[in-house]
Amino acid sequence: MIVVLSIKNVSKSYAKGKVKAVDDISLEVRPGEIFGFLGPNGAGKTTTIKMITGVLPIDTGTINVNGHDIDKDPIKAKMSMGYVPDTHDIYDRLTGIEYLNFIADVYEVSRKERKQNIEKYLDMFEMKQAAGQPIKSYSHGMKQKIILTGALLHNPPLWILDEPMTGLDPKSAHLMKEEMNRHCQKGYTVFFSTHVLEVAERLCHRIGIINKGRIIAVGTLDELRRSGDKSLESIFLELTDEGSAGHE
Amino acid sequence: MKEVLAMSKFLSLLKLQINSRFGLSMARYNFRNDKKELWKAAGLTFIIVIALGQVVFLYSYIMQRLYMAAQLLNSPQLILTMGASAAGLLILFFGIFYILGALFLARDTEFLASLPLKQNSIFLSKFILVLLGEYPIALFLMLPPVIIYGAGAQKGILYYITALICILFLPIVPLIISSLLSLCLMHIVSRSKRRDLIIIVGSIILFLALFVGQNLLLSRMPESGTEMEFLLEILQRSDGLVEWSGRIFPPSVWITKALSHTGAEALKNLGYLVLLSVVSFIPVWLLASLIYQRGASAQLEAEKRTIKRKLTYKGSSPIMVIFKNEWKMILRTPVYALNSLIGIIVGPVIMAMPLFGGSFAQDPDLQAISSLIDQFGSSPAQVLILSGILVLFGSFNAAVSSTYSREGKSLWILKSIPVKPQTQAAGKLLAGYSISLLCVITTSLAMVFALRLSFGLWLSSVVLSAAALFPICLSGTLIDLIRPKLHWNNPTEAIKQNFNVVLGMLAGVIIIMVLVALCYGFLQLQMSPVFLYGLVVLILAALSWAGISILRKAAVRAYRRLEG
Repeated sequence: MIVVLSIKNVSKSYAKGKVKAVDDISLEVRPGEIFGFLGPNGAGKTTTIKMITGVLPIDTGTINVNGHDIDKDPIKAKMSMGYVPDTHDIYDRLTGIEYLNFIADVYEVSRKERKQNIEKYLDMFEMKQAAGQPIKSYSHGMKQKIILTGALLHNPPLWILDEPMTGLDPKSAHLMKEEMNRHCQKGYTVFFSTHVLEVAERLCHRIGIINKGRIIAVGTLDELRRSGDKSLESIFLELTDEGSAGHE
Repeated sequence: MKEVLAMSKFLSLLKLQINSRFGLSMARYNFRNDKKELWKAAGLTFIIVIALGQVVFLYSYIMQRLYMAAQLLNSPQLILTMGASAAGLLILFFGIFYILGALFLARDTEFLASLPLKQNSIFLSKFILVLLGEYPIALFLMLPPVIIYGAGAQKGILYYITALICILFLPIVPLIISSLLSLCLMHIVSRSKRRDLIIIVGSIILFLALFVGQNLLLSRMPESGTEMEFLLEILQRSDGLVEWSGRIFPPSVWITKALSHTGAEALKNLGYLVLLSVVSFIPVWLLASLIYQRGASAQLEAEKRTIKRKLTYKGSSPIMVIFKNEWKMILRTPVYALNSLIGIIVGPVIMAMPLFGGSFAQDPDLQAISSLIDQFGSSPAQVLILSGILVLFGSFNAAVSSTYSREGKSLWILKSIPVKPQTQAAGKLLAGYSISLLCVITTSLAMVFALRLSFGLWLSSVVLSAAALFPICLSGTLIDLIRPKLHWNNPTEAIKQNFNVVLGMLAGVIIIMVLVALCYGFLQLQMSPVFLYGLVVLILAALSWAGISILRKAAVRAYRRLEG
C-alpha cells in the first residue's frame, strides 16, 4: 500500500525522558485522503506535527514523508510538504508578495507556476490588494491566508495544517475547506489538527485521536463509531474521558 | 545545476533576512504611503547623527592626540592597531550574545526549520546578518584612525581601498570565534534539562573567560630582563610597538602593516587577514552543518520540568506585579538576561581584574583611580569621584531603555490589564532601577577589595550613586516609552539592536556630565560636606520628581497611541 506519511514508533520526551509528549505512536496516511488529527489540549498534536515537519527532532522511531525520512533526508521530505503552523509569527516587515516569493524560491517553484498559483490563491482569499502591503499591517486572518497561500504554492503531496481554522472568517474557512477537498481530489493528502469536531466530522476521510501522547483511535468515522450512531463529539469525549493536559 | 539551485535558494534566504532585519520593504512602503512615518524616521536619523556625531568627534579627538603621541615614538601607525584591536575585541566579547540571539533565539527559528533548507545555509545567512550588524561598530572605531593616519602620512587611493577591505574582514574572525563557542554551548544546552539557565550561565562564563583570558595575555611580561630593557627592545624594533600592542588581537597587527607598509609587505599582511578569515570559517561552517539544527531545535522544545514547589496564590500590589513580571521575563529570556545583567558582572570583573592578572601595581587604570582617590584624602571629592564611577557602570543598563520594546507584540496585554499606565511605568522603572542598583552594589563591593575602601566611603558613594541613577533610569524608561521598538523577529533586536538603548545611555552620559559640572562648581565653593551632599541629593530629588511627572503623563499618552 502506498503511504504519503508514515510514522513508526515515534516518541518524544522532555526533561530527560521524565515527561512523555509523544509516546510510541504509529500512523499511516494515504494519498488522496483528508486526515484529521484530534486530541484535547496538551495531548501531543502540535509536538507530532512539529516532528513530521522537521521542526523538532525525534527521540526514537521514524517518520517518512513521501518515502523520505525526515531525519535522514530532511530536504527531500520537506519539499514534499506544505506546512501551516498554529502561530502566525512571520516576517512582519516584509510585504505579503515578498514572503510568497521567498517561499516559492525555497520550494523551487518555477516562475510560471508561482505566478499562476500566487494569483489564484490571492484572488481566492481576496488578498490581491493587500499583497503589496507589509505583513505588519495584516489582521490575524490575513496573516493566516498568506501562510496558507505560501504552503500551497508548490502543490505539496502532503499539506499539513495545525489548527487551520483559527482566525479565519466564515467565508475564508469555507474556501479553505473547499481547497482541502480539491487538494485531495488531485491525489494529494491533507493532514490537519483541529478542535472543531464538526469540521473533522464533515471533512475527514479518516480521523486519528491522540491523548496523553498516545494514539487511542484511528479510522473512518464509521469505524470509530463501532456501534450505534454516535456523533464524533460523543466518541471523542468517551475516548478522552480521562483527559488531562501536560503533553504538548 | 544542483549547486546553482542551492545558491539561488541561499541568496533568496539571505535577501529575506536582510530585508526583514533592516526593514527595507517597510521603509520603501512608508516612503510611498506614509509620509508622517517618513518624517519621524528622518527626525530620528537627525537625532542619531547629532548624538553619535559628538561621540565620533570625541573619539577622533582622542585618536588625533594619540597619533601625535605615537609620532614621537616613531610609530604613528599605532592608532590603526588600537582602532582595530578595540573593534575586534568589542565584537569578540559581545559577538557571543549577538550570535546566540540571531542563530538560536530568533523568532523565525521554527519557520526556517520547517523549510527545505540546509542547516549550514541557515547558519551562513544568519552569520552574514550578524556580520552586517557589526560593520557600524567596525566603521566607527576604524574610520577615524584610518583617516587621521591616511591624512598624516599622505596616503593615496590604494590605502583607502585597502582600509575598506580590512574593515570588511575585521569582524569575521571575532565572529567566527563567537560562533564556534555558541555552537558548542548550544550543543551542550540541547542535551540538558535547564536550557535557559545553562544558556545564561554558559554565555556569562564564556564572556568572562574571554575577558579574563585577554587580560592575562596582556599582563604577561617578558620572562627575562628588566621592564626597561623590554621596552627599549620594543621601541628599537620596527613595528615593535604595534606588535606588542596588537598581541591582544593579532589581526590588528596585520591590518596595521597592510595599511602602513607598501608593496609585497602590505599585500602579505592583507593576505594573512583574508586567509585567516576564510580558512577559519570553513571548520565552523562544517560544524554548523552537523550540529546547528539540533541546538536551534532545542530552543523550540518547551522546558517541561516537574515543579516540586507548592503552587502559591499570593497576591501582590499592581506595581509589584509589574516589577516581578519584568524580572521574571528578564531572567527567563536568555537574551534579555545576558544583555540586562551583564553590567552586574562586568563592573566587578573590571575592578577585580588585578586579582586575576597579577599584582595591583601592574594595572595602570586601577592605579590611576586609586591615586586620584588618595589625592583627595577623605574629602567629598573622593566620594563624588567614586560615585561618578559607580553611576557610570550603573547607567550602562540596557533593561531600562528597552522595557517597553521587549513587550513586542504582547503589548496588548499591558494595554488591556486593569492597571493604570502610570502604575505600569512605575513598576517597569523600578525593575530597571533595581538592576542598576545591583550593578552599583556588586561593583562597589569589588572596589572595596581592589581599592581597599573604608566602610564610610563605600556607603556614602553607594547612597549618592543610587540617588543619581534614579533620574538616569527615568530618562531611559521615558525614551523607550515614547518610541518603543515593538516589531522584531528576534528578541536580540528588542534589546541589543534597539537604538533606544543607545539613546538611553547617551541621556545617562549627559546627566552625568551635568552632575559632574555641578559637583565641580560646588567643590570650588568649598562647602561643608554635609551641605554639599544635601544639595546634590536635593537637585537629584527635584530632577526625579520632574521626571516622574513627565513619565506619568507620557505613559497615559503612549498607551492611547501605541499599537502592539
